[in-house]
Amino acid sequence: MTTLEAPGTPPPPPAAATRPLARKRSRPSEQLFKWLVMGLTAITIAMLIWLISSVVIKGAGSLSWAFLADKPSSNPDKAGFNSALRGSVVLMIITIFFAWPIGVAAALYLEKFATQSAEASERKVRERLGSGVSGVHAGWLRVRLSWLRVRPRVVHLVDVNISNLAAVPSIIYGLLGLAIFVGILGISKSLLAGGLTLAVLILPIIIIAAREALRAVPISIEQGAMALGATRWQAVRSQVFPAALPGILTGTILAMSRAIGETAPLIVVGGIVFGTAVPSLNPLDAGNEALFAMPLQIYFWTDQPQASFQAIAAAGIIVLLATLLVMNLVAIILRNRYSKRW
Amino acid sequence: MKARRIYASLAALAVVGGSVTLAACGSSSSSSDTSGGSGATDLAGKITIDGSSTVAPLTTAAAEAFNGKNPDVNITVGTSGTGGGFEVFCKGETDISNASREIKDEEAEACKKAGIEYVPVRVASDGITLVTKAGVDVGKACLTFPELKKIWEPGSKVNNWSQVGSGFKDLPLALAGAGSESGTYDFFNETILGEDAKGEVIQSRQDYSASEDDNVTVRAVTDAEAGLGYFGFSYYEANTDTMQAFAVDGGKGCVEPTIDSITKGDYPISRPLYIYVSKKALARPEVKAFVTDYVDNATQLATDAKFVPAPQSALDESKQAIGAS
Repeated sequence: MTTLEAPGTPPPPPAAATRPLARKRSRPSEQLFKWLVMGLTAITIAMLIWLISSVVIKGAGSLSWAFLADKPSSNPDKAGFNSALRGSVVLMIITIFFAWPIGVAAALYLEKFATQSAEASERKVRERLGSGVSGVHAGWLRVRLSWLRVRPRVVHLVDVNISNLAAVPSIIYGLLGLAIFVGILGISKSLLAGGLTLAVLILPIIIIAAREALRAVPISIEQGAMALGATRWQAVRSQVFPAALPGILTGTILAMSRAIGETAPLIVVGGIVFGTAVPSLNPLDAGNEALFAMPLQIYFWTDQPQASFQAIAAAGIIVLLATLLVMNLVAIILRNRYSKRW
Repeated sequence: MKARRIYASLAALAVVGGSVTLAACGSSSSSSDTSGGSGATDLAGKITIDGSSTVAPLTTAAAEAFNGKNPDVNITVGTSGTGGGFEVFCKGETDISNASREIKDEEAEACKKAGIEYVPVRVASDGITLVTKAGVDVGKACLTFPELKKIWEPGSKVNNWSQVGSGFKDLPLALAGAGSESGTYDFFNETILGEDAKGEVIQSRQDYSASEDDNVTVRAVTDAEAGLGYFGFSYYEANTDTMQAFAVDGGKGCVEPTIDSITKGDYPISRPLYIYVSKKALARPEVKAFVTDYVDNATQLATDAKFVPAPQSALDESKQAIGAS
């Protein structure tokens, strides 16, 4: 009120910062950088187009209904992709069935429950210990107390390791799968063993993606729910989780896209390229079905001397790419359907 | 409402599976037919085969033919390599192991420890073929073992054909060949470089374009001005329009790699291809029928699958070995 301008004084000239950005004279280095970035993008896109078109040119001729319906064969004119396609479908079902619930649950715990309530719980346990409980109950409370004390450190350790696991070469997961699922659990070298191995392989990716999605939900949503009397579980279940779901699903399907293209771990777990029987599509039979997968079949075909095998390998790549595109399409639809902005 | 949204998402996820499944489903009718009705037997069971990826296409062809006659016998073929194949074979996990070389002593030891007895059955042949680009004249069309040794021995600095010996032209020599995981690599080194004082196979020089995928070697040779590469005969046979093979002199004169010279073993870098059959598995009627069928038709199968057949005498021996056990 005291700083009223005297009438008649002209308004001050607009500050430099408020001038429209576009009118700024661009520096040469800025131009150079722009062109550099554009050039690099063009190279990337050109390579992608070149790759896809060369595959399509080579493989389109071999792509037919018979190719999708036939069993593998030593004769490239008769060889089909049916076993491999079915194998990969069953693998994906098993992989998502195991990796998704475990991965999302782990992310929920690590992001929302592991560290945030440590102090409060510790205080509560102490109070109850002080109120004169005895015997087994007191012992249990003491165990809980010591767990609460080491928990942050354990969580930190798990944290670091999950990030590291996401960068481990996939063949290591193959060896792990062979040792645990085939060696210790005694599962035969089958689609089930392969699917479980792939599930372990993508678990860190799902956890990281899901945590990222959970973190992107504004904390005020959760706090608001809790201020209205919801417990943390209720707030997370009905507010945070649904809001994070599109992100979680996108991350999941990207992880699945990685799993569907993996070859190395499947070779180690006993992947095969020829069988007279076509694997059943029922995931419950997977424990007895031979481990077929699209990338394995493609790899075997590219290694053959006859040129016609190269053509059907290209056709196989087209089918693999189409499957991937369908999966990514679903990811995009889901994201657009559920995404919410604050 | 929130719950409905979650269910909707899960349903949408199911659509991913579903839409892909549809693609496969339409063809489910073909799962267990294609058997020629004639000559069907009552043999049934499962035969598990693993091992060399070189032999796999031939065994696959045999399995297809056998399955046509015996639709209830389910045969699977893996390709974990000769060494990888023997590893599971000697644990009793597979019935038959494809091998592009004979079983090594330590592998035989492992089999013996596990109580796995086996019969080696020769099914075909292969010749390691040395090639350069078609239409290139390096001075000679025949390479002797000492010349090959000079090129490939460890520490060799040969990078021009003129360094190989007199009579070769002044042309850059780019090398390509099998990677160290491959049975082809082992066999080539064993034949050309031999063993050192300790009885270990000498490893060739490593500064060449090495690949487990022989088609990469094919490309490396056709791209080089006057390169030298080696791989199994079928890769040469599939690319005769773009490359030419050298004759090889193993001490008894120059021999061209041909189906005939490799079958007879006249070509000095030729090797037999085997299947190793577990004796325990051979006691099962379906395995015995399959192996017998395989050996009976080995020559025809090899010709169809672009392999070099085994000599008839070797096949007869194989047949006796199967019958005797």
